[in-house]
Amino acid sequence: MTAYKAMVEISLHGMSEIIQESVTIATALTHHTVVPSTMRWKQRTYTFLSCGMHYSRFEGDVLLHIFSMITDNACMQIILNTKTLRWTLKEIESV
Amino acid sequence: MMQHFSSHPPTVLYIDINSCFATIEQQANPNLRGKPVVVAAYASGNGCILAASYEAKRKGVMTGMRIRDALRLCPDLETKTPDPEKYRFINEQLTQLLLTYTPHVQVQSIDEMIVRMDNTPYFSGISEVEILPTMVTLGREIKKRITEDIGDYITVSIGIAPNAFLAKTASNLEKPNGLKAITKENIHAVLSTMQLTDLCGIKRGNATRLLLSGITTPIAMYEATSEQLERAFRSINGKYWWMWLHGYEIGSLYAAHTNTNKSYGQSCALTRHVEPANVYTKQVLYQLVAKMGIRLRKDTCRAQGIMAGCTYVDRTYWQKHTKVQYPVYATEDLFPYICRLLQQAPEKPIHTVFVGVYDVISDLYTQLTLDDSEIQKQARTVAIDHITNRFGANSITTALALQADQKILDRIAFGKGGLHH
Repeated sequence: MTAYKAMVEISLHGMSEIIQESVTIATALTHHTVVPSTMRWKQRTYTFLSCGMHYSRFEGDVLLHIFSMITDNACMQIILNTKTLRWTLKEIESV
Repeated sequence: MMQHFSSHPPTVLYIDINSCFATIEQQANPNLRGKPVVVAAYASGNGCILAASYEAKRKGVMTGMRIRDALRLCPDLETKTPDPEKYRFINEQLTQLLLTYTPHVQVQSIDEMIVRMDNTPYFSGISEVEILPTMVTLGREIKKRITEDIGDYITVSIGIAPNAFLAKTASNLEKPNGLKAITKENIHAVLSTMQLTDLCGIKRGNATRLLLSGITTPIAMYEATSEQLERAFRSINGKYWWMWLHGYEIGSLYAAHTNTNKSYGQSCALTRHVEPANVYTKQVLYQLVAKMGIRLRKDTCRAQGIMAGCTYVDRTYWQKHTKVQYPVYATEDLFPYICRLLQQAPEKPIHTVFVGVYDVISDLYTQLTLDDSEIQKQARTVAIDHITNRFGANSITTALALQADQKILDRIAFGKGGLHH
């Protein structure tokens, strides 16, 4: 691969990776809102520093809450399925 | 010479989210803040840039560029693909925030809104000279609330003027995070700093028309009479331009309550470059027609004109349109018409296929019928749309489209089309 192709590849796909795995989340109630505070995944605990963004959408008749959570070296997209109350780690994007 | 100018107070706010998609991505991922970021249609070197962050713009990256070209200007560029749900969510949040000020909020597109503050309690008991300072205070308050309630990285440029056109012009004067007003006191000063093509709606074609009539600057355009502008544009648009520049509200460009489109269309670049008669083309075509049909029916419209077209890999272009005797609205009717049109297309590898309807009439479900099959079709279409809205695109589809290996992606269209799925 040429250096230019590698540059295109890194720009397009960055350091992000689709995970799509169930995770355990602890939440905190701050400013009248529930936000994830820590995540347990693959025997490791990750502490979230802040929530970049929270939004919701419907997938069929299921309301999903999507959180972009920030750790000290990554941005993680985690999803709460309000029907099953399961949390899923969808994607990790490292710095 | 003192020009006539609208006596309407500057009560229109035009709100424009700065670098909308890119800023929202930077809001969601703080690691992207301060870095050159673009949102591109596809994750490939050929992907077209839909939005660039201000950091990327400063390095020369522009909307419409290809990723590979942008990377030459900015090697450390971060590229994201669109997440329409996220953008619609922000649009909805901003709309809700603005509705707390006035019910007269007009959503122009995914990132632009017009807020008309006339007939609101903010101006009761204040003199005319206090209106502009009150609007500026409101603009600052809206900016503060956006930062606090929607996202601390999301900034908007706000324009204040007596009409929507001048308010939009004012919002473009300072980016990002600007707050500018255009009134009869400063219109001369503002227009004298601008080029003709800086005015929204004046690009190469209109600029040439004006130049041929001896109108070379916005200030000359402002000082021209309505008749001179009509002669320059060779249409009624000249009169509209005179009205817009002098602070009046007229025409369809920024008119309130114009929610029905004149036409509807969908297009898609094929991932496999096959011929028009190939079943793969039909699979993609059906999904495009289904998506377009839902938008048409959502606005309770039927169409009398149908068109289909494609661009080929060899960069040639083909398009055909037809008028139908009875207006159509159901996907099951639209699809055969469009297939028939596409049968006439030259058999060469297709790059992009597009479908469209025009001459729409807004009378769907209001026209009573005695025809049993029509009653059944209406009920069937309503049921399919209801299921699709609840469970997503292609929840109910044909066996043909079910086998499709290319799914049509959700995209944010320009203008009001981008506000819905």
